[in-house]
Amino acid sequence: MLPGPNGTLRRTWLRIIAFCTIGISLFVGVDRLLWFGLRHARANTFAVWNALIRGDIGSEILVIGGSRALVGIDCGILSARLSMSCFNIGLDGSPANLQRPYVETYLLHNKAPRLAVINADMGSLTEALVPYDLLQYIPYLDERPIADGLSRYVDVWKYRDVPMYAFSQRGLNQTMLALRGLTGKRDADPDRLAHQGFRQMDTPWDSEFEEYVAEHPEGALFPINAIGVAEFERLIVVLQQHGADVVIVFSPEWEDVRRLERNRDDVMRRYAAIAADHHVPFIDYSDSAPAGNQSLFYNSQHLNRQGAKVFTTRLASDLLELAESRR
Amino acid sequence: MTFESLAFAAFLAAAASMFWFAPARLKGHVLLGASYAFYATWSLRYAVLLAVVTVMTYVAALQIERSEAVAVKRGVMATAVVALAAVLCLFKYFDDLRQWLGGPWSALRIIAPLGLSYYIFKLIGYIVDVYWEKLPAERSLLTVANYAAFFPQMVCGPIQRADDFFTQTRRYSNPSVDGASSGLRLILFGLFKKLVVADQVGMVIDPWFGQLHQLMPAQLLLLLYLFPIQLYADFSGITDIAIGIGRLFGVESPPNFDGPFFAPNIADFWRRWHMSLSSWLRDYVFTPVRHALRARGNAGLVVSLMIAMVAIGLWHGARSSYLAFGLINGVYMSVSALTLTKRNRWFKAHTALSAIRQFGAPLLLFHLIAVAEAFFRAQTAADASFTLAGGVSAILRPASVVSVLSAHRLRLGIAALGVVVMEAGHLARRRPVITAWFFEQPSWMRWSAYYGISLAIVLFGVFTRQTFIYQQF
Repeated sequence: MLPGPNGTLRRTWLRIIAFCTIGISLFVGVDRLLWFGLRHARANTFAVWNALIRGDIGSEILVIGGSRALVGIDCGILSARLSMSCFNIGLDGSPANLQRPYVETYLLHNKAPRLAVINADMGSLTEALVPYDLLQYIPYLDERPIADGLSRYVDVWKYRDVPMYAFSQRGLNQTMLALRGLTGKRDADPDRLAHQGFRQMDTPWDSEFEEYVAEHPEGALFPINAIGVAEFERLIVVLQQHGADVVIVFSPEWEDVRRLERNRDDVMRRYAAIAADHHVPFIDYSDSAPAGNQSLFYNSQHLNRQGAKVFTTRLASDLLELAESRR
Repeated sequence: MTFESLAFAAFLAAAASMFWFAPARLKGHVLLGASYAFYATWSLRYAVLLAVVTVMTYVAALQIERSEAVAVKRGVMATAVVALAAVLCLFKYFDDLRQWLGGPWSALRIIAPLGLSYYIFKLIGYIVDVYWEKLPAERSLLTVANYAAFFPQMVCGPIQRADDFFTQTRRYSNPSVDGASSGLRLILFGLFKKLVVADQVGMVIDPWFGQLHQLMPAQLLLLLYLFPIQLYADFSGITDIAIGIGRLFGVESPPNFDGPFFAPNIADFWRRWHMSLSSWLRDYVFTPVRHALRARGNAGLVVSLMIAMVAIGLWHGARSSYLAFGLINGVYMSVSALTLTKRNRWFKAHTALSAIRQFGAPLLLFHLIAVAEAFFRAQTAADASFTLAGGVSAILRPASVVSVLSAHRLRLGIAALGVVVMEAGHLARRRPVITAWFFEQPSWMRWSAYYGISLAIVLFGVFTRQTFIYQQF
């Protein structure tokens, strides 16, 4: 049995224990330090997450959705037109099964909104097979809704409890973000916090749509599955339970893409049915004026800054009208 | 279960603990159990194949030794070697050849078993050594089975010789504290080389290989320079890990690398690169062929070298690019062997240029290797030629090379620092005085180095790739 002739048993084991104890302590210490960095990161997605966890948002209007909500609804305009505070917590690449835990986490730390605007997407009613940009969720795994939501994708305990595991798995980006958080460096991109969560995209039309058409000339089906629908409904219920009025909107897409969305009518009918079941309005902007103006988009799904202005102004009017009609 | 995974760390801890605490008479059984358990995590069916060829080799070796007649000995040896080679060819080359065969074959897929080339070469070497009476046939099936299945060497070698392994496992015993700690140090160093150097470079260049024809010439040039570094760090990294793990079980595996890029000529390079394979082919292919052709003078030498180098190329797979890799190295070796005496004489007469030779030769060698490895990495010889032509054209456009480097400065910067640490480690290995100096330092200083390397691995390593380049062979 170990050790051999070069050391006494007791001394060897003491050295091994000391080496391991110091090593583990060092790893735990660096791990904690880097987590601290991530939780204080001011890179734009993390800046919003961190404000949300600190409970700094608590706005009267809350804009929820994926990237289309994030770049398409300008809370500055909503806030000015409705005279209510507004914040956009849109989350890149997130269907309902990831938006729901995100919103539940929001509600754990922030005052519930009076009005929640959920921007629906063609892909919201299905579960994500792989979460887009998993990295953004990792620092918040001690939030129960996030941990539960991600548990089908990763071994949450490893990321949360094994020192340095998260940094080894998520690679350089995570480490660099943590270091930037520690040094207090801001992201070079436009600051979302300064624009109430809205991401301004001053970007010209890119080639994404043309590439998509070349690859999928027949278009694509957008799956609707039971878990996706249940998660979307649960999102509405959670908000209603917290006293929020919920409005579902479908922000404009560039009209040419609609011919490629082969089950578009099914998806829209399902949204309308869900809205009716939960007694919330569903406003479909598919045929609104911005949809026919390519200069208002930077790709088929996403409005640019000017497009967001046009659309949000229209949305604000509709929300005011809705409020009037309810009085 | 790959060597850099958490699951393997847990497996290794459990296997080593069981081995250390097992009574001496059971240690061999524990080691065999661990090896087969490891293999079964890859494929249970292929674990059966491993067992079958092991038993066949064991019986054949005993038969060779017991037979009186030379013809019978030769017949058993030839049958066993052909059978082992047939298994290797069937499983290793079929997938490369099925498109070429066409017809119903093209639909059939055979995945090569993990470590097949390594354990088949070990077993062929054992059979031939028994036939040549370099060692007696091993009486213990357990020892032969452990030799074939020894799990640290299963993924990427090294290809240990039977006499070396049998001598060490005559009595299974625990490693000394120094042996175990040196094993752990090697594992750490190997992980660093693999995860921080090889995989950071791989994160940059691997995606490029899939789209060669869309790349800029500057990217093609960087492929030529960076791939040898990636391959070296990757392969020497896993070799260090394998040797380190072996030490935890009291087995010293042979080295595979000895500063190959500092070699003064190509022949020396091949004595320092993948040493266990090149020495195997030297002993079992080159030397017998050279012996048979010794009357043919230089022509015999060239033919022997070409056969040995083509064998090295085709050992990797049945692809035109591997054949080209072997042929190119065969040409390098032949030209080097035929001109070495004249070159030495010339440099002796021009002493002023000797210093230039000393530094210039490794530099020239690196470029020769980069050209050959373009064929090694490419899917086809045509792809390799395209890479070379494009890369050469970028030499006149340094600004675009700088621009590509700049776009990947973080990963390549980390890899470059990693290369400095890696070569410092290799230097210490070659110069015992540096190693001795390190071990004279106080514990806190040595431990700081280990912790520093560990943190660098975790923070700057790439854990998502989970594969070694030589694992596919």
